[in-house]
Amino acid sequence: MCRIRCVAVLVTFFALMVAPAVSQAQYTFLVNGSFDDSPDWAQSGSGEFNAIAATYGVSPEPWQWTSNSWYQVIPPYYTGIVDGGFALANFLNNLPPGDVNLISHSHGGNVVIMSQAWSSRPIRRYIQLATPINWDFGNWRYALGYNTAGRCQASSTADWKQFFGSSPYQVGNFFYYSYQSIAGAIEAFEALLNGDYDSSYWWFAQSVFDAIEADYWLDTTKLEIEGPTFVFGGLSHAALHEPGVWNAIAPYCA
Amino acid sequence: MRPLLAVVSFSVAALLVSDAAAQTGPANMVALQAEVETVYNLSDGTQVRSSGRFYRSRSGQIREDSKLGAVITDVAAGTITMLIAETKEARVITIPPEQKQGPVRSNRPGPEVFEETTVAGHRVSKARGRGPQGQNIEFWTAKDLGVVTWTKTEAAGFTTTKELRNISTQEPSPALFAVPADYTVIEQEARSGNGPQRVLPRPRGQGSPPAR
Repeated sequence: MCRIRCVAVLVTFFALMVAPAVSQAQYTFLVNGSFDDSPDWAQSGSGEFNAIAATYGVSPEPWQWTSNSWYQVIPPYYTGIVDGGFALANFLNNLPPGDVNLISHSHGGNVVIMSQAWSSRPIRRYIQLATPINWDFGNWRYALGYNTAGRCQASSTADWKQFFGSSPYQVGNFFYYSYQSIAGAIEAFEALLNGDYDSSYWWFAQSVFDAIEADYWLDTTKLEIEGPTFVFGGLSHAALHEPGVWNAIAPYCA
Repeated sequence: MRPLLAVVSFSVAALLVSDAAAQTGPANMVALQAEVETVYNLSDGTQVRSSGRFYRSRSGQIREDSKLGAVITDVAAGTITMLIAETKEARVITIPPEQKQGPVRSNRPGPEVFEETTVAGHRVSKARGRGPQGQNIEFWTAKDLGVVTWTKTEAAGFTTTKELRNISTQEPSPALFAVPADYTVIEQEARSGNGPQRVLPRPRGQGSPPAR
């Protein structure tokens, strides 16, 4: 009896040793930004596509949201982003089991965030390239954190499209404090020329404070607080979906 | 000055209409009810299907739903409502009346029409376009209904097909465009942020250093 049982255990043991490991399917989807349903960077053969494929060892797929004309992505409705998020949520909900990586550009990142209003599908990695950090999307920005194992943002100091894609509240405050800083500096120089050193000092201090405030509002459009942000200097909005940027952030984000 | 103008124009909201409504205009809206099916074919052969329903009222309210919930766009009321079935929440984004403007028509250039035909009793214009990396898009627009009834997008082995089926021109029930009674309504003004309150502009020449 023991011999039969022992043989069965040994057979099972060796079967488990030689059986092929059940591999988890892995999906990597590229989510487009505004104004272009099928951007070149997300297509097979592009430098970015190949770089991402080399990172994951599997070709990514370009998932598209199409309601992305200018009037569908401007505040305060953002109807295109809401519709895109709903479509993505339904897609993720019906996708077979497996790890999911989502790499998005520009407002595609906000489409992913919006999809979290409906989707509870776990996401392995969520990487935003030049996505406007838009405060209008409120609590949904933080909902993604509950389902995502890893998250990254890539921004550029010279990316004005990212800046204008943020909330008018953030953009407006930047310009308001920028104006106040310049106006304060003018007041300070006028006081200095008039020999009123006390007033001049006061206005200079106020001008510096306003400049710092303006810089804060600019940073709110670029720095993601729910994950690490890689800030590049001097790159355009489109340059953030190029292989150079991907290869720089992939070791930390992918 | 130019950036400031951009900010001002950016901040003035335009009423948003669907591409279909942009073609017909609110005054000529045809009521619609239809089944919606979206099929994704991944490059490895995996197929993902998503289905739901699409509704449009004569007044221009639009609803698209699935088992996850729904998105309701009401141009006249200035709201977009997200119904979340799992949590029974209704998130309503509202635009203040003073920011409403007239409908905006899409002037985005589209693919060229290659065929005019009749599909399921409706006159349909078929258009097709091709991108430089080999991506293809084709869509069929039912002119009498003012709605795109079929689209297909192909790129890098990933194909998306979206189709409206069993189209009816019966006016949908008004209840479809209202928040269900058992849902928790969360109003959200899209302008609001989480930062400090905005300070009123300080006129030049005002404000002086404290007396010693």
